[in-house]
Amino acid sequence: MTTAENAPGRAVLARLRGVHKSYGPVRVLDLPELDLYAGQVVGVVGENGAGKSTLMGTLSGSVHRDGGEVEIDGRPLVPGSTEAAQQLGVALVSQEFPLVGQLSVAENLLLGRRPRASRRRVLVDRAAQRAEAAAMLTRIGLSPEAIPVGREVRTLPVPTRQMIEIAKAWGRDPKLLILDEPTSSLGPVEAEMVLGLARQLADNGGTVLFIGHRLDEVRAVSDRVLVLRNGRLVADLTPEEADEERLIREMVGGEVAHDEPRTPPPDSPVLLEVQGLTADGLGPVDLALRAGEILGVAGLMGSGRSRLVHTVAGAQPATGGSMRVGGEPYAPKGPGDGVAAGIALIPEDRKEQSLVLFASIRANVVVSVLKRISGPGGLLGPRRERAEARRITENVNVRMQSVEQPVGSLSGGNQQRAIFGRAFAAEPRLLLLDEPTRGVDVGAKAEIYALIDRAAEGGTGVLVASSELEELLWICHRIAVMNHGRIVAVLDRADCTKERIMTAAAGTAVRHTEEEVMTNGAST
Amino acid sequence: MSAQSTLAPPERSAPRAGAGANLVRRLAQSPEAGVIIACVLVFVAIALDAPTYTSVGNLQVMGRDLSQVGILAIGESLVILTGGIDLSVGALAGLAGILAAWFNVNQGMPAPLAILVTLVVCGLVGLWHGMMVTRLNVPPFVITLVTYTVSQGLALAITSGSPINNISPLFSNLSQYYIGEVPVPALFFVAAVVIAWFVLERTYVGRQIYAVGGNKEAARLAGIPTGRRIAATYVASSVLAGVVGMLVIGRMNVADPSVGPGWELTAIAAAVVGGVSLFGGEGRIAGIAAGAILLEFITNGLLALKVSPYDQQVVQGAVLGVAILLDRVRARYFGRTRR
Repeated sequence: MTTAENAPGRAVLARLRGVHKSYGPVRVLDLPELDLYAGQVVGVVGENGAGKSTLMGTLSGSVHRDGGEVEIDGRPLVPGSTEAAQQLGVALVSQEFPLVGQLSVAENLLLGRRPRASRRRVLVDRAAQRAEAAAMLTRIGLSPEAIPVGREVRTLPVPTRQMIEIAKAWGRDPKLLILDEPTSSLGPVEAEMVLGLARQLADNGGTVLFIGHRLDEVRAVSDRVLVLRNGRLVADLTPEEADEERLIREMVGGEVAHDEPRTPPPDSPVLLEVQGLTADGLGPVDLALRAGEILGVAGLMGSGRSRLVHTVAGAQPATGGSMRVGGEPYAPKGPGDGVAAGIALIPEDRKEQSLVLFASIRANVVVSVLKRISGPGGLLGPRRERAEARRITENVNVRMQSVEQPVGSLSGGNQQRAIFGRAFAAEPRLLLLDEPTRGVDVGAKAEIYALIDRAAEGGTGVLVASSELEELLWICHRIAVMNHGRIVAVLDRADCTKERIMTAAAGTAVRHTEEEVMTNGAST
Repeated sequence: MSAQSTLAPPERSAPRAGAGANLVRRLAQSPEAGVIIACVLVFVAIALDAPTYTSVGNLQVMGRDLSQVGILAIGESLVILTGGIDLSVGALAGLAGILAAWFNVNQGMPAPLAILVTLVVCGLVGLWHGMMVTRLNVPPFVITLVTYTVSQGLALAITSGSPINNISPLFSNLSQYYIGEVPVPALFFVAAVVIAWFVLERTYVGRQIYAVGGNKEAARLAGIPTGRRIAATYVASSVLAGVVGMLVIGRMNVADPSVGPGWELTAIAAAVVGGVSLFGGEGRIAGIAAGAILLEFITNGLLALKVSPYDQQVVQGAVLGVAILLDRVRARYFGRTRR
């Protein structure tokens, strides 16, 4: 793949030749030839597991490449050394907010180095540290009054930490700035600031590598868009060529299948009945869900979407009201009661709330059916367990080598499928979903929607909370819109439009743009 | 909010109360203040009940005790700050005493040389811990447990189980000398506290130790040599254990191979009571020192109150339990949760 036509006559800032990296037998990155030019913002898109993180890691030194040459500004980059990469002018703003929560903003901004104005080599110069930290915030357009540099970072909200992370990278005067989904946790104002900074660095002759999930944003800010798939560079496009359809096609490697619009089920018995339900930050809420129905829950960040789902599951204590499941009174004292009543919850954070990442797929998926598959005296047979794990994973089409591999070695989409498999194995009457496709790539989303459909067709009631309106519009029969812990509207599929949902979600006091709903939702 | 930045942190909702109430609130929010206040309360309570408690002689005893548990607690805390644990400090302190005595008595080394060699050996043990933890990813619990066992065994093997007598008077001079009314070992404790405080709060190396403990990946990505920082804390911990070993044999004027093992638990308890998080990155020297002092006040107080030796450990454990309970309640009410 030649890359010259995108930047005739520009100086090469980063030159990659034959760079590759494998984890076990899987080659996660393989780039025979790639040049990044000075003065450009380069967008990088791809599904999860396409090699974006590995590419970033290779350039920033946090990933030790297996082979190949990397030059930054004509100087070779030693593999696997973040110090070396930093000395060559590479700065990374990572998605995982690598800040030290217990240290102050100033100490985090100057982590690993001394204030420039300080001549002390061993002793900390706090005054100089604070002054330089404040200057760093000012340089990216933040006021040090808004973010006190003496505050412990863990007391600050997530968007603020993201901006501190950006200020930290910016303060190193990078030649190559790598931004990994920098706007996913930011409000619209800050997102705009970050895009502006990327542009500014490129205009001053630097290069920005912009990794994004939101294709419109990537297209808007980039001079050139790279698409990665399975560790390879599959497309190198100008922003004009990179329309959404083309990008998705390149990312997925084929046309995305569109299902027929779904039809609501015929009248079926009411499965879940909620009356006057209250909990911390929730309610009172009334709602009814029929068997085989998919009910969406929309709302802004903090509107109580997650809380509703968690309270029904028994994961958050209810403070009042009543619930019935299948006609029986249901008053859960904990998630165990929910499970006993035939309720399965799939929470939003796979890694923290659903999986034991280092444990095998087998151990992770069979937990929901341990009682059923264990023999007399509660003893488990290894063969039975393995067979059950295989059945569960095949049922939801988890792509893996063996049920014994750690579940953490799967891609995000496959992990999510394994979680669905586990939930289905318990044959729940009611399926509760919180952000079912968070961090899942485009292709895998469609498969997860298919799984949700399948559950509903089998007569399971589905309550799904999501910050992605498209998702809800796509899969739900009805959508309940929440605001300040209450359901303010329940819209039938036929009446659902983004505008109506948004108007209801925002209430009457504030009018939010669609953009805001989306970004706020993403930072929940 | 559409036109305005959302970055400003939420102000801690502090209703405008008087300055006094604010001060109380600030004190209650800091885990260190709680321990220090507990120290004062325990001291005063016991002193009112047992007059001998505050006698100069008893205070001197407490000072010497502190030099043992307190110095171990400082070293232990450095390791815990990086997210590790050092189970070897008690046994290693014991072995260090035996080694120094053995070099001195059985090998005929002059005392200063014996001390130096012993401290170097301890330093190497710490380096070994650090290397195993940072290079080979051996869990700190495991590698220091190995040293615990080996140290305890070596102390017995060298001495065949019987104490080494006739050690150089330099040892006892070190431990039994007073400056004014203050026993020298207590000064060692004070020095260890001051040096540790200075390094942790005022030097880059110290701040980087906090960074490594708070978020190792962030520290690594920021170019901090995380392996060296972690290894350094193990070296410091082991060398401090060595120092304690010297002070102990000097105090008893004999090197007893059964002394030492078990002290690591007191050291860990002092650190935890003093506000150190076992997950790393959190805890300050003032709190650690106060934690060690509190434990000593209680242990010694039980003697002064003539509590049956059979009941002492139960009381100590109960007091620890209450202290930790109170701290959790405090953390819950004042938001600054510690994991």
